[in-house]
Amino acid sequence: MKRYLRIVAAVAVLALVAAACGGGEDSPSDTGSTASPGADIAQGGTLVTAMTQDFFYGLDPTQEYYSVSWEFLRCCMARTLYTYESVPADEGGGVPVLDISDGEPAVSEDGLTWTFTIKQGVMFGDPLNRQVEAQDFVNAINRLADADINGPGYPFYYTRIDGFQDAWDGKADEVSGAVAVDPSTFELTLNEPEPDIPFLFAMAATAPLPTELIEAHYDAVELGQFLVSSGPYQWEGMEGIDLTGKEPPTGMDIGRAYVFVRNPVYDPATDGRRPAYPDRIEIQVGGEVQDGLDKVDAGAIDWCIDCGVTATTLQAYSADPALAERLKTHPADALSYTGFNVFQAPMDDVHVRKALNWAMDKAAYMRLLGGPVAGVVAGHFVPPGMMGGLNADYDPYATPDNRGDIDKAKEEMAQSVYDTNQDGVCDGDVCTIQAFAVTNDQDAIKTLEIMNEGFSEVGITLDIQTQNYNTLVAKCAELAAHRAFCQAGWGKDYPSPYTFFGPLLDGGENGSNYSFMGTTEDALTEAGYEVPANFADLNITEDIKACQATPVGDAQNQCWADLDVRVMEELVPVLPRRFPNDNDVLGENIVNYSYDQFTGVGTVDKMALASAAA
Amino acid sequence: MAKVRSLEVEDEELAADQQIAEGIPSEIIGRSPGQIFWRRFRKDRFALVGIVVIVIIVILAITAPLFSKWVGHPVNKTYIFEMTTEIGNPLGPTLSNEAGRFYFGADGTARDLFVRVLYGARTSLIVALSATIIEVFLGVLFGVIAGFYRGRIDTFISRMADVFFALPTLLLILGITAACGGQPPGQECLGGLLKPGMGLIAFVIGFFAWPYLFRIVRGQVLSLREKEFIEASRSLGASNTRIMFREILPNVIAPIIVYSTLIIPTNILAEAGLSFLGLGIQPPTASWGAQLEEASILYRIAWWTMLFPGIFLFATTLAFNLVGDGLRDAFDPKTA
Repeated sequence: MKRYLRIVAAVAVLALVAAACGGGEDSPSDTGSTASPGADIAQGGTLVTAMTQDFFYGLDPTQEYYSVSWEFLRCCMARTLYTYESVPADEGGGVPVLDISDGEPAVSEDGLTWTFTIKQGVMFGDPLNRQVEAQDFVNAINRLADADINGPGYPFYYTRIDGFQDAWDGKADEVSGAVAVDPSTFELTLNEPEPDIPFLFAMAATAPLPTELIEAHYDAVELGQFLVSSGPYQWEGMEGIDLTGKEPPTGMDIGRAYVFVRNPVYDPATDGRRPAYPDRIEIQVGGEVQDGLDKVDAGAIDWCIDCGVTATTLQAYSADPALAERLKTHPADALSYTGFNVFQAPMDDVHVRKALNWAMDKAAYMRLLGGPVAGVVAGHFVPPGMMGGLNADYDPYATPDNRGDIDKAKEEMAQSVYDTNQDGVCDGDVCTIQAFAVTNDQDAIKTLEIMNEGFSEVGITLDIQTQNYNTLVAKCAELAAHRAFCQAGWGKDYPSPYTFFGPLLDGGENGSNYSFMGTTEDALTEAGYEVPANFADLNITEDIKACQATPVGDAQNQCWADLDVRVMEELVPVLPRRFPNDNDVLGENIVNYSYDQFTGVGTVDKMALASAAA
Repeated sequence: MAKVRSLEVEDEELAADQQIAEGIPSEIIGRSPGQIFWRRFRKDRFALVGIVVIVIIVILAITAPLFSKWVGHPVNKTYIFEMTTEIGNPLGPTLSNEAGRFYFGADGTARDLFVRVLYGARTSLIVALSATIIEVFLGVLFGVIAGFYRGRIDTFISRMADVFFALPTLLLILGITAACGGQPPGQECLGGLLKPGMGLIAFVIGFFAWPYLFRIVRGQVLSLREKEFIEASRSLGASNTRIMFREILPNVIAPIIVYSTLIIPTNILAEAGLSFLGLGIQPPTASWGAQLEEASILYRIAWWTMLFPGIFLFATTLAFNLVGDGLRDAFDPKTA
């Protein structure tokens, strides 16, 4: 998934993940939250927050592809068949658990039919105030397969549902494999076994959409403005609203401010995972990151959702133990990396790619981005904890103190065709590579400058340029742009290594794959490349399929771990830089906090307020 | 017979005034326009200070590589482990760091800020002077031609100037940068002439600003072309080209020089502004604007990152403004 990662340098150290089983419906108090010592945890109060970046698509669950949006859908507005405990990974936060599904689904022996029973008492809020039904899930799948609506989302994960591809291609109006057998029974028919169904049906795009809503507001973004909640909160102003009208509820002032109030018909007994502490949640949109953090410091707001932590705030908080307690850090299940276009000179030579992996001073890079709390050096492709703890210490390009090893880099470069005299230094104009950073993204620019210092030792010079974000991303994903080298960050879509291997290293020109592995010969030729002799080797499609077909558990984890090794040692389409962390700076009013490992955001509904207990 | 007396005093103008007041005719000493100009200019102390500052800045800019060598810090080299805290924040001015002396401290990427500020002077001056040359060349050329020929040629050029006045320069820069930035080798705009960097910035700043000087020059030429000496040249068989560039142009030099001096600081600020927005000079090339942009995030914990580039930018633009004002006053007899 191309997730919008926080724009500020991250903080904290790695916590290793231990797989944990999802439990039943736990009481709200057993939620893995971090309570302030001696604090009274109570429901009530108004959680006042800000975010510098708006929801991408007006909280339209089908379209949203942004961690903060996903958190507000998960916590508050859009329950799904499965969900997560919204705790850190080491407390089981990476394992999907049942939500609207009443018990485990019945799965046919061939794994091609999944039958879910809808839990009774799960209600849509105002203005519908009715039971969630199977047809509402069918509506969601059909809308997910509508290519006109869902360009930016993640429909590619659902193509194993019968008829999904036909609907996407416009050959059918509906997805034949998603059926409401009766109001309480939702059935999925697949064309191939899909063991990731629990993950996929914990995603917001599969949240039930009432027929009344899609008939009134089917279009992208507009639906989000009138979203009828199935969770503990709803937009302020939804009571009594005319769903067929044009005026959104008062709590949905897109681009400016949002207000969530309690869903009057939400029944906690049907949930057990969402304590929903605040009575009301307010979000102000806009402003600069530092302004948001200053407001938290001043007590004007309780939390800046997407501010992370800046150098200024980090300096203050690391020096004051009292403040340090309010700085929460967790590993983000994410990767900051450089993607190499394996078909573009000089990156079409694996020895060059390996040499650069040896040459980079990762310790200097980490220090400049915030020091020991900025995350951990990445030695391989898949973030730690996503493979059951395997490969945790694996780093085939490990160097003393992570300072890089120029000698080894030169040894590798000397084997490259671009080092004509085998002196360990790349020769010729092809050794000057365009390298792009988003305009005024200081962290990205610093990263390139540090890389350039190391790379220049082996004759690779980075011609650093800045571009706006959209252009940079578009060009990096375009084969015909002939970019050899692109900086990137990626977070999981759901807690499976497939969400790294698939989008980033397979499928050719898929919008996120800067290596272009998995492309076709025709696509290469059309884009002006020569098909290399080792073309067939630059492909991990079958490896991915093999791992997906392996039963979930230790065997599958080992499969992913082996693929991780193959990617890093044989193919080397990337230079992993770090596994970053997510940070939250909390105001004094927040006395209970949890981190949602799935969304990578603080768990909104678990933020209990001191003002509520007072 | 009237008494003639030459008074030997330091200030001959004062002496002349005194003589006039006393009704005593004195010796008339003729001075060239240059001498008159210089006498007026040197009285303007602010302008002289400006000259000194400009000379210092230019010398620092030219000798930046020498300073870099002197302190032992290449302009783009980072000193991350020597000049940052454990959480990556830059350290301030120091004379006793293990990596040597950092007179202005480190910037956000742990480079020597002193060296980078000096190199930033090179960037600013090169871009500003290049842009000024482009602007002056086009403005004078079009101004002289339009003012001399009048008629359809004047109308065409003047309307073209109006179009340029209306162009949204910043949006154009954004567009050109987006369209021409990051093209693969062999596919660059205009064979690589238009790509983000010093050349593009100087071109855009200069190319879109020529109408301002054009109007000034055109006005002067319209007036001068009616003078007798022009008629005399024409009657002697001088060509139009000769008249324009050998007769008229020298008489327009004064306002050109004044205007040029005054637009240099404008162009310096334009470059700094574009670099601040990330549209100008590309990293790692040092630029005061880019340094100030970085400082806007760090200044609360690293005041030096804003202070030193800010002082240099301020001093340079102020110096040019003072010199320009001084030149204008010295050239214009009405202000004598």
